[in-house]
Amino acid sequence: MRMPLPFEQTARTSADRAIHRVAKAWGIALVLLASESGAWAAETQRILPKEWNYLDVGKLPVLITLLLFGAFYLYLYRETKVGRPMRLRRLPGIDAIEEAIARATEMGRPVLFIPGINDIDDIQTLAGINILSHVAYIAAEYDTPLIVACRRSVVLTISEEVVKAASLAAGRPENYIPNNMRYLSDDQFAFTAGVNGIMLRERPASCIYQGCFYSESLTLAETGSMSGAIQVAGTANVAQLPFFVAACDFTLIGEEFFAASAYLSRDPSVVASIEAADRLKMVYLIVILVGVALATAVNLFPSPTLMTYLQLLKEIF
Amino acid sequence: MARGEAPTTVEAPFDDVTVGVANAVRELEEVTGRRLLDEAGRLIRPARQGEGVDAYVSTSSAGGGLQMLVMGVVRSMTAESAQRAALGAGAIVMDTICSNDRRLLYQQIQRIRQLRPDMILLAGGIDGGTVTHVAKLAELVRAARPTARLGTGYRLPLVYAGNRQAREVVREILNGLVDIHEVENVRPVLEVENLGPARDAIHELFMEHVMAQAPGYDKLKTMTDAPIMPTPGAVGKLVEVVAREKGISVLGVDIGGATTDVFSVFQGKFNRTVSANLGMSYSVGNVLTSAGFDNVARWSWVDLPAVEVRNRVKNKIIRPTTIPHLLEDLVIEQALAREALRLSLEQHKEFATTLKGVQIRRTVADAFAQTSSGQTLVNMMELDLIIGSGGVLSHAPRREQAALMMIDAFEPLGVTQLAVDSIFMMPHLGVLGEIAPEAAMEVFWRDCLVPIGAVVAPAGRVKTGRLLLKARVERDDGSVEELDLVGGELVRVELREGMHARLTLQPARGLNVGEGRGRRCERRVWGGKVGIVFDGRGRPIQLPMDAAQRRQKLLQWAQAIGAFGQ
Repeated sequence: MRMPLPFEQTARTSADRAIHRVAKAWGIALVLLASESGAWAAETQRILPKEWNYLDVGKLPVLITLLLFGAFYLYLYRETKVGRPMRLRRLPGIDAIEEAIARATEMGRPVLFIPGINDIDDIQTLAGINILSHVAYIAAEYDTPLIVACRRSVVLTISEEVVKAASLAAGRPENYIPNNMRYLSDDQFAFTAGVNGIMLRERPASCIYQGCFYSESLTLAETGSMSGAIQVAGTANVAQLPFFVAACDFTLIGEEFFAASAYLSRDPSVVASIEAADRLKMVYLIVILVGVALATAVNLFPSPTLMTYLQLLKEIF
Repeated sequence: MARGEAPTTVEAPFDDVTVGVANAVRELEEVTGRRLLDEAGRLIRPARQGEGVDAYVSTSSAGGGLQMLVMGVVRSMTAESAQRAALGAGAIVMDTICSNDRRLLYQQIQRIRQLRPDMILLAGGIDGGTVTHVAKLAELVRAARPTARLGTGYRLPLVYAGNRQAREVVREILNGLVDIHEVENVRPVLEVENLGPARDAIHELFMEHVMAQAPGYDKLKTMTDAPIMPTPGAVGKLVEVVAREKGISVLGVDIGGATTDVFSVFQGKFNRTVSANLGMSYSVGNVLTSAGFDNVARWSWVDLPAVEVRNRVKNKIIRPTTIPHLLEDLVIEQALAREALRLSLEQHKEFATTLKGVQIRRTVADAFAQTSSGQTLVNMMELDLIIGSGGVLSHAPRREQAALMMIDAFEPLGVTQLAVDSIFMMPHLGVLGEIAPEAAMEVFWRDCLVPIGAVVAPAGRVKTGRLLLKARVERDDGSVEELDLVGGELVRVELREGMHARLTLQPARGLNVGEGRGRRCERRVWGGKVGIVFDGRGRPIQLPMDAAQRRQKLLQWAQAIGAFGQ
């Protein structure tokens, strides 16, 4: 039979009492359960005071994450702005883009870019278009034609503007060729067939897929590989990654795809957000490790204090 | 083996290189006591009754050697291949112009005009590839109307080694302006590099056009049994042959007064680089600037103030032909040499790479290790032989000093043999190899190379005082020596010149001497002036941060192999 005991009765040290006070202030009451065998378990009861009605304690971890991220971001943004060196890991996939365009230049063939198959409201499409700007700039520098194939009309319009601006920035506005900006079809497989047609007819030397892709990923990547093109892919759709990895020369995996924007732009705000997210992940990694250690310790050496800490950790994160 | 030397007579008042050749041969006659020249000062050929020679070969670096301008479409692809072809032929590449060199058109044209090269190598596009980019490069040449450095009244030779389909266009654009020589494409497809035809054309044109303009070379050409080659080209040829015949990886370095040449053969691929501003006399100031004072000073075990070191370096710049007179001068010179060699090797590593822009076949297992193309070929663990050449290495007061300089600068891994070129005979043997390959190889191994010995260096994390390696040295004469190598130590084991030994190496866990981490390794090595050096200093070599401790450590290492006597 388990007997609930209010935490105040079990708190033995001043540290325990301090933790209890903090927990209470957040509307959490810690209750320890003692069994007849002497083993301890703990549970929390939410005792939300009236004046705390605006706070959903159930979403406390989200709030803490947001605050931590915000703090990291602001700190890193300020530091990066005043000249702290940016620390971004080399992304072979992004470095390979220039090599892919150079290959197309030597071969006298165009570069094909596909900004995914989703509309502009998808964050992956936006990330893909950011990379398109970089690709268009390099293609203009090398004086190599760039073909952009889109599934959505809005994406096409934005891509046109991006390529136009990048060509102008590279000092070669003539490298923007309106006929090379192509809307194929809103239908997924009609679009895929259209892209495959471009690959086989115009034989681009490099195919770059950056955005959201679904089942067409393998068809596209396989056709590109068969046509002898260097291929660089990037998507956050985990299910499509194995196909891209197997059929492409380089693949930006998951978050690398979003980090590519920071890598390319070197914009302090984007770099700071990437680094802040990384630091947040570090914090969570440490919390997980501490949690595992605490849970193991509670199991091995049952103690009300350790149980309290573990329960509190669970509540906060 | 004898050597005779005489100053060049390419300039006034002689204006004839053969005068200098005859002077050098006369010195040889005095040294050997054999008559080699007839009354008219011509070589007696073929040899007869104890006089004359069977063959005469020559290399040339007159007027600073063959100076070339290289052009290609993309810097890292066809332009790099063209550069490799030019360097492999023994040329000095003055500049590389390409579509993506980020220079404006007028700057590129201006540069071509300023350079006045001996020859241009134009490449670009694979066969069936871009024509427009190649045409643009040809138009740059047309706009610049370059003139040759030597001689007047002859058209500048241009080797075209690009897209076959662009030949007609290039001919149309450059017709009448330069002397076009078409050869096979250096990159017929991006996956293949074909440097041979371009290199041969460069050698041929060097003889026909460039050398023809130098005074006395027409006479010299008639004297030689094999075509005259640019000196570095001949060295490269020899290194290539040695590596091929023995099936080994070779690194050759020639550290001169103004430049340092690095030659390598890894995985059967030959590469040469010229570090134009790294040398021991004219360019010594640049070594100090490029490496940084601290990097040079870290190798000095004499306590000299910074201003003193700088003054000595500046003295060397002012009087480039002087040699060190004091021990301090020697230590500083050898510290500079280490840095010049280190930087040259770094540049070489960046250039000697696998081909860029090739399609890569992957599997899902590659998801987290997506290596890119253009990886360096230089693998110090794979390296079998280092050949040092140039005054500071070949004429170091003790061979131990040459060994230590090469080990410190190149940081070889595993088991590597060391040797130096005795009297800079390699270029001549390179040409001799064209007509008598066996004789060239025999002379190379017997007389040209001065064997220094071998170095054994485990790769991996090295902790001072930790046991790194257990080694057993079984010499041919039956004697056996066993030793334990400890982190931070340098140990020398005697193995005389002409002797061989079988090494059995058992590295500690996590360390590699050639067969993988912690794996036992057996190697057969030849001895030399130094013997076998076991290097437990780690890679990169760990030097104490404190200056006094560092000097103490350097002195300890120098004493361990007897670099400055006991």
